[in-house]
Amino acid sequence: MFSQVFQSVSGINNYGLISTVIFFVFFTVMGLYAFTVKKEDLSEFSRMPFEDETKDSNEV
Amino acid sequence: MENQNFYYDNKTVKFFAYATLFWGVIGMVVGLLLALQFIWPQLTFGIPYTTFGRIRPIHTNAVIFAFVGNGMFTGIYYSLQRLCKARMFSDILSKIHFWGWQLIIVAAALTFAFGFTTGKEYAELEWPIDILVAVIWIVFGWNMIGTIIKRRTRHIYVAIWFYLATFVTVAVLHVANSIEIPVTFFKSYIVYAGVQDALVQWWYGHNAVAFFLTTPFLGLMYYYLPKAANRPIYSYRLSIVHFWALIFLYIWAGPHHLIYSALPNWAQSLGVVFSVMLIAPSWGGMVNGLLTLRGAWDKVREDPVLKFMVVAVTAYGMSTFEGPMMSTKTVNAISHFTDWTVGHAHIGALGWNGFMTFAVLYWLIPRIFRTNLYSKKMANTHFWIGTLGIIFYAVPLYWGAITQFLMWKEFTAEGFLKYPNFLETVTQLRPMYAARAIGGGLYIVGVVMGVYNLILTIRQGDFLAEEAASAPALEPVSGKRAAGEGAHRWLERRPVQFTIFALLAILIGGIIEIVPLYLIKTNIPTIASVKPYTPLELQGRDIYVREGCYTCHSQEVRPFRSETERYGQYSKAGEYVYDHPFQWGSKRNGPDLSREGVVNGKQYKPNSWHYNHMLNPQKLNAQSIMPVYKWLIADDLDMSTTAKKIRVMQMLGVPYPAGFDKTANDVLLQQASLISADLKTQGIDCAPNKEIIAVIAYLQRLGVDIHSAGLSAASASENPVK
Repeated sequence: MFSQVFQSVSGINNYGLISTVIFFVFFTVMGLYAFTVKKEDLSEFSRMPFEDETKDSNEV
Repeated sequence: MENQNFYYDNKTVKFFAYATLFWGVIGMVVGLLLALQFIWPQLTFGIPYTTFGRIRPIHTNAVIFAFVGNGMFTGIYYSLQRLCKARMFSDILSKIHFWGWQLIIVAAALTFAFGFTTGKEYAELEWPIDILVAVIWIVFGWNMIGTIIKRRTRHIYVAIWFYLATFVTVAVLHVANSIEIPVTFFKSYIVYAGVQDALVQWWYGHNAVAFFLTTPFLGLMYYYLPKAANRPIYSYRLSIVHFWALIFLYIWAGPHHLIYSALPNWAQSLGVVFSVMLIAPSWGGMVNGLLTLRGAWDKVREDPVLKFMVVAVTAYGMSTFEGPMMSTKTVNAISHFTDWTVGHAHIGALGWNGFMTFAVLYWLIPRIFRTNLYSKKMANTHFWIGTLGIIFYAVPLYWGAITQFLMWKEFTAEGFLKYPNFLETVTQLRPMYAARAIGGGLYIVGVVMGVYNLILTIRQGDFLAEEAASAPALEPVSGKRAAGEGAHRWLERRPVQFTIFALLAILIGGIIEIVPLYLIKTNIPTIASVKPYTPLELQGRDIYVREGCYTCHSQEVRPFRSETERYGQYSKAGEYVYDHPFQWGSKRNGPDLSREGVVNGKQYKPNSWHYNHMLNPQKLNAQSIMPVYKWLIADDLDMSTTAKKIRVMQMLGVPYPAGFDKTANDVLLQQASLISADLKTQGIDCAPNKEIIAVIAYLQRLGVDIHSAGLSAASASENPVK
């Protein structure tokens, strides 16, 4: 079935345009999300690599 | 919640670190041997196991999957436990992962040396090892996701997002690009053919760069760079956009390896568009890394770890600018098949992956061995020698590439190719190849110093196998979204769902690009005159694949006047429909061979020439850098596999008549006798059952079907782009 559907697709050259639109929608949604995250939360997340210090690790 | 005591597993980290150092030296030394073979082709020592075509996959696989792979696992096993505040999910899975991965590497090295290869770049492993790779990769993913599930932190840090995307995408790529039908235990045919195989292969090949060499190292950057600089990542906000944009875009870019090929134009265009867009997230990551050092640049002056990281991130930025640039049709028209590609790849490999790996090792090994780095001075010397090595490696290759494309494309005032003999361009490049070998040699000297420094650090240290830690248990919360909790915030605490979303993001690009190529018949126009290979030609083709001829010779004439004048008609999709696998290659150290068999064609040579060329290339052309293949003349062709090969080809849709497998060897011997008799007329005594006869038969078949279609070279050159 899919084979027949795809064979009848005209304008396959528009794939580039369609794909670009898909990406920009995706990118915009992610961008909007990123800018709605609270600053305090971001600050907390970005400090996560520093929360792993254990009593046995020592500085070089 | 109560505080829980637990231990981090440093033993697995240590094992992966040792393996990184060991395989790093091996892989790079093999690379140096390859570089020296460009200057002294006799460095193959006249034996099959050290020829360029066989050891080139050993080099690429050793540095990618053994050195960088083990380095990546070292960094992940250390950082994942600490970011999750949890020990690895299972010690047994960690052990299976480590030893299984080393077994794969040893198996790869041995099988490549013996000529067992699928003939697909960076995916050369034969089917039993492919299955082992899939199993061990799942073990790694299981162990990683299990650790994330039992973590003691609510939020999953961005580095882990990159690790998860790496796991899921590499699994998809590896499986999709390795669907093969076995012929024997060490021989299989890929189910895809020609153009379709090329698209799947470079979808895999490019994304092996993306999801094996890039995303895991970005994850490492997001953990180790802040640790080394002692300040949080510059913008966590940027890292969120960086992650999703990068994994979504990268997967589409594969077709940029096939520009001006027989791949349908719409697929090429997608590859170009998405490659150019990739600059944005790639540079987003680079900027995020470099700006993390804001206010800490004084530390870079002192700290070798930061020095390595800065150059690594800068090299990442350089190669992710250069890659999209090389993907544009204008630049690709001149850069493809030249040493530019090799230079570009090594900026990424030596700078980004090599330096980031050593930065992680220099940071991590003193910590798990509870000591200081043995010699900061030696590490700084390693850094400077390595940096010089990268420059000495890349600059001659860029210079060589310019020389190559200018010479390949130059015409005389009368309209003839100025350098019609391909060898003239090779001869011109030999000083550049010598300089490249010096650059590579310098880089290895640096690596050996680094290994020595780390061994002395280990010897003076006191290894902490079980590192005590404590953290409060994670309070259980609903798996559903809490009131006011955004969809992405929910995803950031749900590793399985996160992995599924990452999978969807990478699948979109793959499906849109690859599926139509299989479903729309007009994408691969068939050519009536193109027939399946004869049994002898098929056996010859398999020897061509075994010897890795595709590592130096392309089989793809691009639609440029400079190419059609040199080789003959440009390549069409329909001429590759029986090629399992495709053999287009990616670099021309020797001329294109796709029109080799066209009698009176531009590249045609008689049977006796091929025989003598394989026996001693330098006797025919003193300046040739082709290795000798004298064992092809001595060794008998294995005809016991012919019938099975024909049956597998029939399964793949190659239209051999029913029952042809039973008579295939008779047909083979008939054709072989003709070639043997022809050689005899030239004074060469060669029995029909020798491997060389099959190779000659295959080479003499190349381009013949297209020529017989009545498309003359003159008419084919009506449509060249330039």
